[in-house]
Amino acid sequence: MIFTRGLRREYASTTAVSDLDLAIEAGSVAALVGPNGAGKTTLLKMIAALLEPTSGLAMVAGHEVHESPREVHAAVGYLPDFFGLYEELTARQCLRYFHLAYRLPEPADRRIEEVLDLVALRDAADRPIESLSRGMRQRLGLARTLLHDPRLLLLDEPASGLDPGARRELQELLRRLAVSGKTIVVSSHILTELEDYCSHVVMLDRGRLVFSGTVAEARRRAGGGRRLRLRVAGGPREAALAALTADSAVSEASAAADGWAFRFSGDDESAERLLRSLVSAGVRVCSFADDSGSISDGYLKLMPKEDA
Amino acid sequence: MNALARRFPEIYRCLLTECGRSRLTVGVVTSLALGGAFWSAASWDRDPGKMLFYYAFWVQVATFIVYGSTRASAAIADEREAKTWDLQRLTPLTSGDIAAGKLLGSPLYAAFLAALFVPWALAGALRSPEIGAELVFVYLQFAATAFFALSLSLLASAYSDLSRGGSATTAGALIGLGSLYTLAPSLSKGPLDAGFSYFGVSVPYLLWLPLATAGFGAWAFAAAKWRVGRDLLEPARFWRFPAFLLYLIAFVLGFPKSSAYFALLMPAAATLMAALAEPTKPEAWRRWLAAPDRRELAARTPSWVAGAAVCLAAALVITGIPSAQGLEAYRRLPLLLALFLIRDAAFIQCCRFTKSRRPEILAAVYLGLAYLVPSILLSAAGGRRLLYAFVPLIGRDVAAWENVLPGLLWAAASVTALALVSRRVGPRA
Repeated sequence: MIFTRGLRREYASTTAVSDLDLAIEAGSVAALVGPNGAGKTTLLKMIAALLEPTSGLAMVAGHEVHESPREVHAAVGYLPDFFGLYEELTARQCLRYFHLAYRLPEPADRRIEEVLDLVALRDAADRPIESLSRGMRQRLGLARTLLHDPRLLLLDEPASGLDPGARRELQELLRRLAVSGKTIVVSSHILTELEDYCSHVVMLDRGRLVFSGTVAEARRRAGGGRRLRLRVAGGPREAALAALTADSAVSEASAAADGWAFRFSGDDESAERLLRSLVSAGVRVCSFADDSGSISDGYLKLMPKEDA
Repeated sequence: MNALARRFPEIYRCLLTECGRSRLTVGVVTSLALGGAFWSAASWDRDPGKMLFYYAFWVQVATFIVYGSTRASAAIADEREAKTWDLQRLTPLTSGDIAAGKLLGSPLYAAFLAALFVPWALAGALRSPEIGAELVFVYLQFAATAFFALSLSLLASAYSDLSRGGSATTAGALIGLGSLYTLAPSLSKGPLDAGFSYFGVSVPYLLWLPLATAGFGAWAFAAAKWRVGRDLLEPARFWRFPAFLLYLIAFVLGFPKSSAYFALLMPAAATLMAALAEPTKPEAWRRWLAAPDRRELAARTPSWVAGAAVCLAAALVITGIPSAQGLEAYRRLPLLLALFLIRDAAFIQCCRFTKSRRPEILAAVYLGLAYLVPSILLSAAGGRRLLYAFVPLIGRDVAAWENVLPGLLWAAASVTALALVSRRVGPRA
């Protein structure tokens, strides 16, 4: 869905994005993380064909941003970090305006009701935008972004400035959108909230790519490999230990009060086989899960120390 | 919703925001009260119809042209300030859709107010035999002036940045007031019936004036559209500004008794304005110089560079035209203008490579000093005849080459300085 090669953007005396090679597959949900000034917003704006790259190539949904910016606009739903809405209009009128501007087929009402439902804003649809709360405005912004049903969503700090309740609602909404198959690139500083629905992580630092890969890879890098944690509800501890040590993928098993934590070099299928062997050995497993650390851990581990 | 609002969604939005019920009611009540007052006041005059017409007409001018211009000048500046501009840029609306939508939508309420006074103006015109015959021409010129003023205001708005939304609105008011000068001839009776020779063809003045005004309005609208197109990353066309300069040259040459030697005055001024208004930032400058092919190089050419090239080429051609009407000394004027234009525009570009937050102001101040200081010092020292060495003036007592040489040296020095400075401009690694 997104492919960049040597993508670069310079300003008067700084290089915001430096020779970036990046690939994000269709259907993935990528967290774009990095410290302030890392180039996240510049990168998103270039991908959205709102900012011309100084050099390099950026392909979005099969279109080159420099050659076909309007086709890119049609494929992309971009929510800037700071955006305005037409304050004098109601939420419904605002969406009607953008429905006209996007040249979407009439009648507009059905599509507008759909997106209002999607962002749970139907009750406030006829209120003037100036009277909406920050969370509602953010959801309205998202509704505007979704109006033309874009394949790719670029969300720049969508949770910024929201209270915990509004952040949770937004998180739920993004999870639903992720499940619906949209490709989403979301930049955020609140890394823990990205964990639930992000499949990939892109880390930037001073305009350079530090890491790009799956969340699992990021965790593994952070933890020096994949770690699993087994919690048992009683039963013979020896049987559990025997099953663990019998598996060649298990190493560095350390006992805890309610189970074991260990390094695991196998894939998901081997993990499933190990779980089955534990259960058949009579171990009363109450949880068997990844313990490789969070995106935050990965971020702290992978980012250069002075910025982490 | 009508077809026009579907075609230009901006009209739909402006109808909702600008033309609420209370505003319309206030407009209607005001027009009734004011119209009644005008009627009453005019009835004391010897020609009450004429007075009523002029009262109503000037209210229409004040609302549609002056107030409308302030609305048009805020159309894009306000969007940038309110951070809604990026959202518009993402829609499939073309630069033409956006520019036309804003031109039609932003002065909607002003147009409504002006329309409310049409009955009063007509009532006055019908009562006055003097006004009746001129009504069509007066409103033709009114429409042309409104188009010119609104387009120019939209252009000012398109060039405004985040921090200058307020100054764009001020510019709109000034444009609205300034454009009234084009209305004045339509209200003075003298030359209206007369025709005059334009490019050797006799043209009725009452037809030429609105056409000329609308012509400049069309260029201003096109320039606003192109500026919007740049924000939409639409392909740049380097020939647009040179085409406008050639239009200016042709426009001047059309007048009877006009001399080709003065034809570069307006294009040179326009190029200097482009150098001040068009922010060719270091990044854009570097990208232009590093263009991978000729097409890209041409497309990315800064407007002032293209303008200066056109002026220089035109100057060389005009200088070759044999003198007439005893203007031999003026033959060198186009070349002087072109050379000093290059000096000044290159200097303005150098200023853009400084750390100044307002390089164009810095440049304007320095240029002001560059023209004023030599004038003051040389006047005080009694050396005014040497002024041609510092400003584009014709030195009557000096040979042509001697007159042109300082301009050539200034231009060469300025371009060399620009080349040196632009080499040093680069982003941190």
